[in-house]
Amino acid sequence: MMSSSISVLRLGGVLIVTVPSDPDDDTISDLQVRVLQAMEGSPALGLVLDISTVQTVDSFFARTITETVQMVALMGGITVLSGMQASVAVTTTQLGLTLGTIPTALDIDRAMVMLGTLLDGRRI
Amino acid sequence: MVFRDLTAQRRAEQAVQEVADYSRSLIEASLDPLVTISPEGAITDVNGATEQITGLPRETLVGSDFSEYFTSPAEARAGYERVFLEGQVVDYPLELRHSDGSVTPVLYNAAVYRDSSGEVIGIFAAARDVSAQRLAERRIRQQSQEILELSTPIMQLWEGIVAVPLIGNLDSQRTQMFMERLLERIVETNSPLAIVDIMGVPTIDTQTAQHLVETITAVRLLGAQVVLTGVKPAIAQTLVHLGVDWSGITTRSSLSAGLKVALESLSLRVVDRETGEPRS
Amino acid sequence: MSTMEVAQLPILTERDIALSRQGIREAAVECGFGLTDVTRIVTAASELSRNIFLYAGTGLVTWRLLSGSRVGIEITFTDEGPGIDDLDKAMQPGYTSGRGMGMGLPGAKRLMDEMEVHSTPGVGTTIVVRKWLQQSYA
Repeated sequence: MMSSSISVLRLGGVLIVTVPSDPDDDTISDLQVRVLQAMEGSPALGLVLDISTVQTVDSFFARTITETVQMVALMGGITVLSGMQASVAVTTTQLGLTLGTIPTALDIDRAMVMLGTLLDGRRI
Repeated sequence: MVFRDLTAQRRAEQAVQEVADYSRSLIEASLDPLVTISPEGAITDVNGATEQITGLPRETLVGSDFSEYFTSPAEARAGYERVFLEGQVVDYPLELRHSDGSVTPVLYNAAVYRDSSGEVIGIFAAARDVSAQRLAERRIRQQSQEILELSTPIMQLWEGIVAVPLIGNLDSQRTQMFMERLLERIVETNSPLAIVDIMGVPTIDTQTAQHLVETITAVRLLGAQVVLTGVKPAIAQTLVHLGVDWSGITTRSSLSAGLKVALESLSLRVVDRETGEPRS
Repeated sequence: MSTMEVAQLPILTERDIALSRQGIREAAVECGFGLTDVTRIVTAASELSRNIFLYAGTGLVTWRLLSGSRVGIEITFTDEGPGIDDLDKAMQPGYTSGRGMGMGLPGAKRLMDEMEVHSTPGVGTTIVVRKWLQQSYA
């Protein structure tokens, strides 16, 4: 598919990125670049990666997401992965792809609430 | 002058003709499509039932390549070769195509036939129409599916909580199906908590236990959490022997205990209407 | 087996991995697979197409619908790459030959019903995978 541009929303101290439905490798790599760029401007406390429209998660996608989460963590941010589709969850699990210990949420709203809790927890 | 007694000869010819007619009438009376095929793969003879099932007349069929009339000519040819190799083939599944496009599932019984000196002349094949069986099989599968779904109802107990009591022995297929349905329900109902009660499951094998672990992992990926309840000692044994790290999974002895912990995690509590005191 | 149609896609660039996903998704849907199975097929295909790109550089993906007494999809991945030295090792879950997560073969096998691997070191590799439709509904 044509490399669609990733849009990064900033809501308060949180970045929200919605991933398109069948991103090619360039788009996925671009996502990482865009997140890092956004963090460079003014570091965000949290990142919500919304994958509610994503139909396929293969090893490249999983690896890039995991890397991005680690990079954001090194810069002091927490990432929540939101909205994974049921069929993707089944396939990812059977494929044995671990997304590590990335916190997950059913949708963006819950992801924001979770970020709030996680960030609160950190302050203690 | 020699007078040959033609009467006896004619009577002999008549007798042979009667036998031939009799055999032919049996072949034509057969409800099963019958066909003879030459060693080159050409149809040498057919009966009325074959004309019916293919929708083509005798004249068209005889001399043509027998494999043309199947949805999978390669599979038909493979069966044909097996008959020559093994002498016969029994209940070989194929699909016959009618000239109008419709398809009939059949089972073939075929054998080689020889002349009086023992030489193989060709193959004699009889087809058994199994469309009724196939329909019945499909219905049974459909019903099993429905029974499966009825026996694992995924209920929404509260906003944000779904629960499913699993009953009976879980096999790999059933557990897989259950996993997919549970995940879909969680997404549909936007429920971060799923109580899976296995009190009604007497035993599970390693493969099924693995599917159960996968289910719990997959639920986590969605952003939800499983509370596993009612684990019997035999099952606890299997699960621990799997070598899986169960420390991260919430478990309780009963579905009701599971419900309590689910409500708590949603910051909900059951209190007495009169006194306002919490009920445990 | 009788087939309905054959499609193919050369893997020449990284972008072609995504293209193969699209084409195979269409075929799997047309074949009648449900969403979860479509996802399995497309994901397995993505991994195997990626293997071609990663290890051989270029190759070919071919797919066709299978009909006859059973209905299903068959996808073939061929390349003239370095081949697989130790097939047993490559089939170990979690095995990686150094690049990335290397989920390729065991993962793809898990998601599909059948897998055949033919590989000659120094010559190339051909992998065929199949998934059959479970006819549960009329």
